[in-house]
Amino acid sequence: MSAKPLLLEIKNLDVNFYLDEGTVEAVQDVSLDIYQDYALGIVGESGCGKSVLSQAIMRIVPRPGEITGGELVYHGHNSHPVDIAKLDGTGKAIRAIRGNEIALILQEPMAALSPLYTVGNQIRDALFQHTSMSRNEARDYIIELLDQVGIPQPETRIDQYPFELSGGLRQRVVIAMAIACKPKLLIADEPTTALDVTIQAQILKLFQELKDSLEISIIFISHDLAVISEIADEVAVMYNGRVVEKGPASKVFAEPLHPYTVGLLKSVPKLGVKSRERLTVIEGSVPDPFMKYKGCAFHPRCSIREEVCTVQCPTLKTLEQEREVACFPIQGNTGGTE
Amino acid sequence: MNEPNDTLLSVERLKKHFPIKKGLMRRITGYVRAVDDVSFRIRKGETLGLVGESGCGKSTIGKLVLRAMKPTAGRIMFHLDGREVPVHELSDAELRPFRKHAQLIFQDPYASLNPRMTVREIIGEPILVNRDHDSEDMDQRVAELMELVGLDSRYLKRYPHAFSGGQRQRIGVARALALNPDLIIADEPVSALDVSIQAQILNLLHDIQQDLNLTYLFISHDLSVVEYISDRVAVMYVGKLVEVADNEDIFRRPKHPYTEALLVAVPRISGERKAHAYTLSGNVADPANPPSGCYFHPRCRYAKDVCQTKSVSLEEISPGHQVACHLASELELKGL
Repeated sequence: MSAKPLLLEIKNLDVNFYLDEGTVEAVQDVSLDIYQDYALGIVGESGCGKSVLSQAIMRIVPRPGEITGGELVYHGHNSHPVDIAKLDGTGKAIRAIRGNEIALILQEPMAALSPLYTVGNQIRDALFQHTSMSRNEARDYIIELLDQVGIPQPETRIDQYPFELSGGLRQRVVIAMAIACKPKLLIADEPTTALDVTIQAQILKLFQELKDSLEISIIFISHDLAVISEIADEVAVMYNGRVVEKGPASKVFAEPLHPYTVGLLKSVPKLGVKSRERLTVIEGSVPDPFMKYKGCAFHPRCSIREEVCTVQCPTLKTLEQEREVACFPIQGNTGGTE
Repeated sequence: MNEPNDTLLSVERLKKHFPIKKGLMRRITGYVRAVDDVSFRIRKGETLGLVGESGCGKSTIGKLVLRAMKPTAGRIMFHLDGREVPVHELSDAELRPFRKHAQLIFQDPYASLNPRMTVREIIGEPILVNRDHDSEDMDQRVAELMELVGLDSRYLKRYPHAFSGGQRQRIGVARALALNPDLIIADEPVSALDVSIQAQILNLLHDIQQDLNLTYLFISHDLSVVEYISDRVAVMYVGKLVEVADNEDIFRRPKHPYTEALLVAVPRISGERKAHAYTLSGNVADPANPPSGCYFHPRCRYAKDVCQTKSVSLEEISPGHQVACHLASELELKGL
């Protein structure tokens, strides 16, 4: 992993939402490194903070949420590193990065597209924002982009409105818009969840091709373990705002360490492993964001919890090569180091 | 097929066409063939999985079977203690007693529970409507149902907002069980739930099926879930069934190219990244304006001339295995 140069360092990031009902600590002490030409998968269930993390990187965390601590050191901009977390959220500096160098793709393509503008005009807006292309140049380039993301007859599609396109084509338009300014980092937040399986397979293949041809880095966020396992080089598992396990995707899926990851993998029915036995489940429910858990947030659902788990919150520690886990019983058993 | 005495539900040549109305006069300019000539049977105590992509008509079948909408044509026969109930032609008055026997579990537990009703009212409503119990033992019956689905009956007086997504879906299951139905139609019952909660609900559905001898029509787009829960599987494409077979046959020995393509498309957890050797191109056909011949031919990699011109219908190629494909006998398709 370390052979590739760093693109973005997320260091001890905290994002809080100050609501009338209390404070929600949506992201707590998250540290992740994103390298160039590399795909990081983030998995977790609803409310685990995976989407807020992507909003924080884009600096679009909606009020009343705010970044309350940590750094987002971005190395792709010019030569010197920038801490995105410290930038003015609406200032010039972040606008030069947002949408230009770091682009975001959301789950529901219809929500990302304006129904009032043609596909071409929407992509052109992004281009005019960040480049000095003329109208004609932009049109040719957009047709090229639409072709690149696999939209048939791009010359006619460019003048169509989003409602004239199918879900899969719309998501391709959103991807075209995201890569229009040749970003260095693409954040894809559940980009295939709203799509049918056959269309999902097409879009996943497209991501793979884009990563290979544009040498782009991807943060791929999903609740679907199988989707992540298809696309990611490295995977981070989030639970209640924290990263509980991190490591090379092939290793994490083959041999999960954290009891939450183990439970997740066991609880999904696997295609081709047919048995009418009951599924192994993680007892209890997804944590309540307003609840403050003493100790490890997973301990009420954990089958291997120890005394220490109920009083102290574990942090990520490196075990064997490239494997990190935040779990006292696991760390204790294998003698992990800081 | 089989001798019909263990059949609970038989559907024959079922059709539902929705008119497309255009212009000031709302003239009918065409039809969306949501369900087009579909026939299948469900045996007592089995689970039939119904898979297909969005818009293929799978939910419409569920609604038709419950007579939440009236079919355009076709027969729906419900076999009950030796008599046959012709569901497709029941009057409104005759429908109410029938509906005790067939109940629905919905996809979204946030949308399907009335936020202004307590759990007791939600689960008790079908009992009340059908005057199944008098009000004294209603509390007891509701408490019993809550225990059955793994909810604490002390929460009888709470409102849905106090429950998590998984617990809400349990409430939905309890409501469906309230009248001791024979058939449960579960329309994407776990799709809206978190991964770790899906397993809990699937286990619950599995357990109550054993305990109460229930029959399921399980509608889902998720093949791994369908493989887990189903005895037999029906694959649907643009309003038609393209393959019906035992679970094992569908997943190991598919005979329809669409089934094969669906199986390839499902992402799988594996240590090694799977190269997408083959992805289905194009989009699902428009049911208002389907292609000629076999509806799947524009996306089918095996398509020959005959597929473009001649329409296909389900045919039994081996006992219990039905396929609608001109080339079914010659193709060597890959299962899991």
